Amino acid sequence: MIKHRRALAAVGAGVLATVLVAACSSSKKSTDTGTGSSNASGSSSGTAPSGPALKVMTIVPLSGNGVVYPQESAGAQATVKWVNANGGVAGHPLDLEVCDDQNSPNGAAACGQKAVDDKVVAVVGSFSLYGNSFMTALTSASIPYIGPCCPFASQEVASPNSFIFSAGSLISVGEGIAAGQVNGKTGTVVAVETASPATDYSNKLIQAGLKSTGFTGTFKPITVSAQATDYAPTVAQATNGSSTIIVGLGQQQAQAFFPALASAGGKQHIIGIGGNSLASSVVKANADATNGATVVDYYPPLQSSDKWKPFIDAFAKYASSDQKNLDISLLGAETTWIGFKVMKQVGDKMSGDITASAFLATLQKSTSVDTGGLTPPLDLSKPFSAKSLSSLYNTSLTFEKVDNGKITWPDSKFIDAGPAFLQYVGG
Amino acid sequence: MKEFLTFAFLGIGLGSLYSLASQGLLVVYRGSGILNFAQGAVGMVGAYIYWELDHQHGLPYGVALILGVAASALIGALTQVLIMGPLRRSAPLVRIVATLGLLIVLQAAVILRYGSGVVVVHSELPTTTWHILGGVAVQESRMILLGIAVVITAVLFWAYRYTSFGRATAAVSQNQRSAAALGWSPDLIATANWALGAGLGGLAAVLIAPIAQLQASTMTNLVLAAMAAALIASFRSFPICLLAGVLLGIGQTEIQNYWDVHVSGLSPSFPFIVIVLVMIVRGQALPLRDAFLQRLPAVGRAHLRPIAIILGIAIYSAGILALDKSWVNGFITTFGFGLVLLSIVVLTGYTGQISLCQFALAGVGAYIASRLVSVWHWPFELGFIAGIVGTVPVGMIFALPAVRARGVNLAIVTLGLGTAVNLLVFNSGPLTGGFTGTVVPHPKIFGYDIFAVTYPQRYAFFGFVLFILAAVSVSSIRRSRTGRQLIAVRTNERAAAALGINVRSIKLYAFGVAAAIAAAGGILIAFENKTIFYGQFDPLTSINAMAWAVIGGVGFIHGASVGAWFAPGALGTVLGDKIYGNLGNYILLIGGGFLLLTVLQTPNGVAAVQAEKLRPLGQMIGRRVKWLWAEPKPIELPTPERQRVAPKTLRVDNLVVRYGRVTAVAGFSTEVRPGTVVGLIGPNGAGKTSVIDGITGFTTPTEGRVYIDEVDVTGTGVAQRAQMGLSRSFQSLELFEDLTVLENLRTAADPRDKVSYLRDLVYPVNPPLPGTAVAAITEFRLGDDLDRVVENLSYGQRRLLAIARAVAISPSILLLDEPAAGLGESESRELAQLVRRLCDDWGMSILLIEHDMDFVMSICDHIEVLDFGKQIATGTPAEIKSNPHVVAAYLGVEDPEEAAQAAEADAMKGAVG
Repeated sequence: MIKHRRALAAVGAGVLATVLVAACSSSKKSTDTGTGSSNASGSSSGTAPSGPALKVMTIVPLSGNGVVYPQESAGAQATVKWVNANGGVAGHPLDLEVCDDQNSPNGAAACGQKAVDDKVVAVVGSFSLYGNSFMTALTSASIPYIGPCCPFASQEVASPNSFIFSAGSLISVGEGIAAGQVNGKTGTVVAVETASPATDYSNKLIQAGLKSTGFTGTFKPITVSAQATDYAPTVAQATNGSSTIIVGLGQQQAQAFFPALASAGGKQHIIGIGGNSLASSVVKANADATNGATVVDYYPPLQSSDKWKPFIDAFAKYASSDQKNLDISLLGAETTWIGFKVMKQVGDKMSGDITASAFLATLQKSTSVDTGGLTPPLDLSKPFSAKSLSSLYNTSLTFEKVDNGKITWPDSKFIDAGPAFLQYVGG
Repeated sequence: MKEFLTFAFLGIGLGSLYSLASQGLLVVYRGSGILNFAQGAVGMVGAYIYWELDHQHGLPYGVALILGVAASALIGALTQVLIMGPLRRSAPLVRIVATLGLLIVLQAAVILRYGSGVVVVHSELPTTTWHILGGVAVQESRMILLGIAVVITAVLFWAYRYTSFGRATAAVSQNQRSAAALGWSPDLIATANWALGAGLGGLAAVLIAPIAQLQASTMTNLVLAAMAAALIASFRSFPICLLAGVLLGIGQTEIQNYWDVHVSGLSPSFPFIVIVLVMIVRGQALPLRDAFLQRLPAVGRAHLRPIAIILGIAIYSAGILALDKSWVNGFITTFGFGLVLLSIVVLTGYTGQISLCQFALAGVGAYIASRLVSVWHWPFELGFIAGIVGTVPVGMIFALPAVRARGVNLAIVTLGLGTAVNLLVFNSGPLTGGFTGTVVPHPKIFGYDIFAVTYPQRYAFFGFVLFILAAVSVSSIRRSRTGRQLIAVRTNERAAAALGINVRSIKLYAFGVAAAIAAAGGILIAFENKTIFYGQFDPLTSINAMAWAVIGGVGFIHGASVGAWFAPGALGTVLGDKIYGNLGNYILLIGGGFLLLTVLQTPNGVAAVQAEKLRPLGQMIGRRVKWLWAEPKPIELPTPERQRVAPKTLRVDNLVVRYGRVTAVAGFSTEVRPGTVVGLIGPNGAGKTSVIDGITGFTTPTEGRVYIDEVDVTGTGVAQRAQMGLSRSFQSLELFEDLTVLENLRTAADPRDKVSYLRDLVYPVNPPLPGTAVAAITEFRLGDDLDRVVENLSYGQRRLLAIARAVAISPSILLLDEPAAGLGESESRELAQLVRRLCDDWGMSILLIEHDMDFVMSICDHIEVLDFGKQIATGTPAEIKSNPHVVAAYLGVEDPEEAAQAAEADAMKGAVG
């Protein structure tokens, strides 16, 4: 019995020690339900917001078994602080709640329910692998779902209350278009994707993009397990007789893929996704392997385009010290800025009580929303003609270039991938 | 060909990762008998520390490496001292779960300090690629890793074979007490091995980090796959482990290149498929004689107490109706996982099979039901039933490789099966509806919409009803003859087989029932959403489910409802959120810590403690209002009728039993007729127990035949022979310690009819005790102790119970192995009389091994004598007493022939003069 007590004490001490270590160490993300400041202090422009706060929510995975996006939560928090320092929305300050979906359908559903229970006015700039788990609740309560990063769930991309400005489907088409442009009409184009139920569909979209450039060569899809440890075999498969490689992996897997690619010394053209497989953190860590690569993105490059300056400045000013090192060029962080900018743009024109349904109605009538040049002006009154993607209000992509560890936007042009998508894939 | 070779070399690279990851696993197993599921996590901590020192504080590579490895080694040593040491006498299940607790705690701690994201580690090894054989690419870094793995293997091989440390480790792992008597401290040896194994894990993680990058779960996933290599090496041989790891890597890489595009998920599931195949080919039917008994977690009695049921229904119903939606969702999740945990109670708690794939089976149920509903437009009610029924054969197929495995091996096989199903089916695009996934309409029961998002309370009550039905069914199983057979198999497979229980069928049955219950849980969880997420049925959750089941109490139905609270999204999470706000990763840390505490303090689980504390209260209530506590009526014994058993003759013809090069029995023949007692005597080690093992089928004889009533049974199994009327008792008793006296006897006496397997799912029917069992109770004076658990009996009573149990099966032929050992003089005499009565009054044919000469001489009609495996004499007691060979064998005369001649000469002299 005494031995047990000793063991108990020891284990208890051990647990306590780890908790202390964890608490005292710099936590790289926030796990609290953070709140944006309701009172502005030292605002640089505009009047301090007053009146009742408007509740908003951002849903993002911060724990559990799967990829996590502390960058998104940090971006949302900094952006909301900036909004509140610049007059809020129609004079109301924003009260932000970050909800962790815990990488599970139950967690996502709980966030959706919380949004309804807390009567949020909008869910902005979110990401979840389980979108359908919360969309039903949001749709039935007429809560607008604005500017999520990388939505793919059927209800996220095609609901009357959803306003998405980026969709993986169009990125895939864009990857194909970019690949076709740099590769030429012949040769072998390889696409490296993470194995998932959506992989077949993504490959179909890439092929559609390729075909639209007149490509007649071979397309070879390769899948990688999400639990892969050694990427050398994948690299060998990808470089075997190919002229162009499309890297469709997420940022975390790309961090392991590119060193292996550098080791193998491949000379292929590389196409990647901005804020994802060719996020600036990946590019910086793998300058040699990614030099000359084409980056397909929805938005101008955060690193070099002055259109992102307001966000960069806001983040530098409002992010907490342990958030400052996060890479905000990730799509998840970028879209929080765009989402809240749209909310402010549209909301500032409203008067009287701002409820979720009133806000939704106003959104559906907005015809020319300015995102500060990060996208062409958005017309939120015209859903996309593809029924499965009807909530997509921005079909423009940017093709950027990696130049010795920096991402640039040589032609400064938005390329509309909508027609290619419609023509080859249909509704 | 060039391509094949290129990928073969790449596979060697992956294979050396597997080898490095599994060497530490082998060291820990060899040194302490524990399969360390936290091996990857321990290594990962060392790698993170190395990274922090090297990349962030700028320490030189070598120093950071050594410190990281040392950190892992320290964690290993602490684990042994604080956790595994106190658990050394616990069952394998409990120790496996302890390593799971360690895994959870380490991963949570790392995430809290370093975040969940990937940490980029720069490679210190050269990154050049050689090109050999005209175009085959070989990575220099991988070849260096292979070299390191080879060197480590060689050093380990030498150390464990030729150094005293290695010998000490082997000694301690085989026989702790003897090793301790020789001066080696088992605890110190175990700690040293844990430190070494954990340090190796840290070294492997540091070396692998630049290739796989650093993340909390990477090493754990790698080690799970590397277990295949360790399994092929039987957790013993370092060189085989290295070779197996390399071959696994090559196989996986070749499959990735040629097959992954056709069959999604094939290459990552390759190691797990190998695990399953190895177990199918290998494995043993019954444990060997020397498998020692360990303390298994307690099993509850599963009496249905109305007061508990009423209170439970009232409280939970009130909760569902009164609390808000986030609570209701918590209830739904709790019921879903509660069903999965109930399946673990049946399979692991009652039947002792460690299954780490129950959540995968839940997913199979969800898959079948949802595909039928979505693609073939079946109504939900039918799809639900089809999902449950359809998972039963899957569970039984999962059981096939498992039937031959046990303990650690079984855990790994089931893990492999669950992982393979997850990778090949649940994550496959074509099989799950591709991009759009599987969308189901609102579930409806006879038109009543119970969709969880719109009618959460209805869905919660649906789940509650399911759980109650399953719990009642499991309670019925426990109290029925099927339950007794399950527990018999769990406690002692040899004894169970000797009683005619078909161990293999029971295991298949248990897997099947558990699969059905788990499927119900899986369907409940999946249909909460309109789109079904199959990927959530992942292997790690199956492992966690086992942990939660143990916390709750793996042998208790109530344990399932308690353990389910710990699942993510269940009531524990909701409660935590309400009290502390968003706990995020802290809840993992808390859960892991709680698991470790439970395993150390209350290995029987929370439910056991609750049952103990609440029983007096319940009994007090029961005294006021009888029906609320429903204490079962005491057994009334019918008057015993003396019935003769079916007379059968046992004939043994030239039985030869060899173990390797040792001949235990060199030709034994005898015949035992109904109504006779044949004695088998001989010095210790003469081969007597081997004779019984050979006759009953526990050992396969090398030569010779065994006949029951002239039917050749030499090829049949133990249980079949028992069913034909052949029964034995064991020298080591081999009682079912966790069951009561009555349950032990019932287990023997129960009729084994097929109908009861289904009927016991609903309602237990306990047949009246057969005459032999009643007679045994009366003759052996066990009537007052029927309800006592065996482990509380005195030594003498246990011996009598062992014989009573062998008798309760109403055997025609009874083999008794030293029944009087350890009994006093008067008890021996009574026993001798009892044995004689069994023979005379009941008509049994009895073969008896004994050392007590008075015992043997007084009751045997015929005696056989064995010495060094040879049958040296046969005859009546009088003949044997004066047989010089027998005397010589017992007294050890130098030349038996000379002594025999001298004795004959004496005899003749006596005759003449």
